[in-house]
Amino acid sequence: MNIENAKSQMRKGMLEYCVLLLLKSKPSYASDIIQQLKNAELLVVEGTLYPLLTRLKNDGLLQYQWQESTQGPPRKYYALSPLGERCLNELDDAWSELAGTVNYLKDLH
Amino acid sequence: MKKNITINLSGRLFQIDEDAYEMLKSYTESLRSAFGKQDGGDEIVEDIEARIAELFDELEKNGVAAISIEHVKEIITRIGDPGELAGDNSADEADSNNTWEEKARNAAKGIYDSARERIKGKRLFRNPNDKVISGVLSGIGMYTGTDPIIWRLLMIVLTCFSAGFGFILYIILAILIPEAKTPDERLMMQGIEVTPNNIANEVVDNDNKVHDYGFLRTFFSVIVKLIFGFILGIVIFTIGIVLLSLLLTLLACLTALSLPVSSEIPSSLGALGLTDLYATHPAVIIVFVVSIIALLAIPIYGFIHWLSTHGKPEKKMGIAQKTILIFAWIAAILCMVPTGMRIAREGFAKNNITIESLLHEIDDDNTYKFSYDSLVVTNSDSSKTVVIKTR
Repeated sequence: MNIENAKSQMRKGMLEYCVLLLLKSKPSYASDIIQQLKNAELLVVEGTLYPLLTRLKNDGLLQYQWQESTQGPPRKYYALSPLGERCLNELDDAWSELAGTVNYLKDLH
Repeated sequence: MKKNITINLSGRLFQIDEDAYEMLKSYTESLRSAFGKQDGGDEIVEDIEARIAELFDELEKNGVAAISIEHVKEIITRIGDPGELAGDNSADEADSNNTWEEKARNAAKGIYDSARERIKGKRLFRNPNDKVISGVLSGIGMYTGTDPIIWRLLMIVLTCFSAGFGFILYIILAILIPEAKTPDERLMMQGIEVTPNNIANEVVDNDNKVHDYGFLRTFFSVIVKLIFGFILGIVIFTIGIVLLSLLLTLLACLTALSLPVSSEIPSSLGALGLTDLYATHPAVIIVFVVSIIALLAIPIYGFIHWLSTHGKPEKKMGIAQKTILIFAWIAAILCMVPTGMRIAREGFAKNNITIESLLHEIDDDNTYKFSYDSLVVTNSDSSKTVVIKTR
């Protein structure tokens, strides 16, 4: 088993959930999200985020607004849509379940 | 010293070295072709371009006067490899296919293995860097890891001994196989992994490539080009004439189909051979008409599609779509020829029945009987033609 591959698969699976989580508190634009994901050591290459954001937006989980910025052209600020919030709640539950399962298995020994 | 240009990236202006620009351009082209087929692909690429602009902005704030190739390389590594970014979803499928491939490999060793090894990681493209006509055979040589001269000689032999089938095959292949235009396509053609570094090398190499083939190759190339051009000219001319006459036939058929079963037609239309059509069953004419429409519409559609997507590689037709169109076109020919022959045979054979030739068979009580599919009655001065159908 390729350990690096397994790790990146895990990260990939979580990325969607984490992006929704980040956007729950306040709307952000792509570079903010990138910075936060990098701080959390979740993102290796930045390019992965853009297809993800577009997909979530097309699925109706996210919506965006153009906002003027003090430096340079306007930016796209992404925020959760009502559907996205519902989806996030479900993912929250799924995550607690998963974490519970993993902890349970870990504590067996 | 390096030449420097100004580019507009997401509405901001940047000073950038020429080689760095080339690299950036090939990277965004690769992104475009990788994301092009996806939903919202353009948007993704625009967002990434905006991100690149932002990173450039940061560089400028840190006192970089002109962006160099090193900066671009760094940013490309940071953002990631186009194929990997776009292929996110297919990664899992590839894993599950692995076992099947393994089985297949174990099952058929030998020739299969070595052939596979040769084309491993490669994709079939027309090779623009070594072409006689359009690079099809050179591309096949590249794909199979063989010398293109073998394929060229084979094709010439095939064309000479198969009444031109090789020529038609070549045209079909040239339509089906895309040309390797962007640097990443050229890498895939050669079976080199598409990484930012390799793309950069390919961009630099391709510009420095000197085409010097020697006398024999040049001579061969010129002769083949001349013969090919000559045949192509004849073929295009013939096709043009055939298509034009098909268009006229189509108009005649449509007129005939739209007229009621028994009706008067002006003799000018009768002269076009319209009355001949009434001898044939309408179903045959309908099949004939539909196949002519397909025969005319498919190339026109292809041409318009090609024109409208010129310079937008991500919108080009896929091989599957092209194959379907070509098969539909061949099917249209196969439908048109027999129905057309039937119309010609039946029409011209039977419409010679005229009242004059039957007049002396009329009985004393002024009635007569005979059987007919359709009857054409023409005035003695040919001013009026009436068609009577049994159907």
